Amino acid sequence: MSTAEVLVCNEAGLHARPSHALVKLAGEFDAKIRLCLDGRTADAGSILSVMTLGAAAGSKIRIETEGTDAKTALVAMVELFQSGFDEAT
Amino acid sequence: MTHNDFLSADAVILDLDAADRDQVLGALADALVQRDPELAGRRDDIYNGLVEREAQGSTGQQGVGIPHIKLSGISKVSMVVGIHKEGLDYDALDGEPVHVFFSVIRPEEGTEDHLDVLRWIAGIAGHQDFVSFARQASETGQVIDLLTELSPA
Repeated sequence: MSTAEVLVCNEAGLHARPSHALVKLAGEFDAKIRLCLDGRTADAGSILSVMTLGAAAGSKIRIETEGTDAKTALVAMVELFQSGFDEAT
Repeated sequence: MTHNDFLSADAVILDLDAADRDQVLGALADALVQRDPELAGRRDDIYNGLVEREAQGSTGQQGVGIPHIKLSGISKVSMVVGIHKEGLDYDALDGEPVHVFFSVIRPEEGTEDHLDVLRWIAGIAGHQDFVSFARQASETGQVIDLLTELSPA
């Protein structure tokens, strides 16, 4: 399993557009991708699961990836968070 | 607040009469306003909010859509469930038609109650037979029973 920690740096948190982008990206990998916050875990491949995380701006999320392309998936997910989901911060 | 607050017959639209996404959101907005006195007169606010929300990125996946928004001037979370038996093109993440819609309206301020509601929905929608059972329902009571049965303990 590969893991990394990221900060949610866009102002509105993990709301509509970022969640959608995140689930779309997760779907491009075979790896299982999980997001962990405050003892809760979400499946990054499920929009409903991601929405239940309630990740506000400033949340520190641990990303866990597992599977054949786990490392590539982790890098891509971290980049997405670091880019602020290409939104104004 | 528990999910039982939502499980009454007037929270269920058994057969959504809608040909596209906006019509579905309109029907859900109508049902929300009818059900919750606090939402009286807010139909257009709700409808426009839901349209805008879904335009930012569809909440549809695995046959289920969860159009949800914040609304000013209300005190508690409100929810309705609508079923579209044939299934609707909802621009879902997996490209599959959406059959069951949970629409959740929550206050702008504070409360995290809506996360409990979303988690409750996630627990139900995660059941592999949920959508097919919901589509087969012929009366609202069956939908309530199904939601009750699949509710996480």
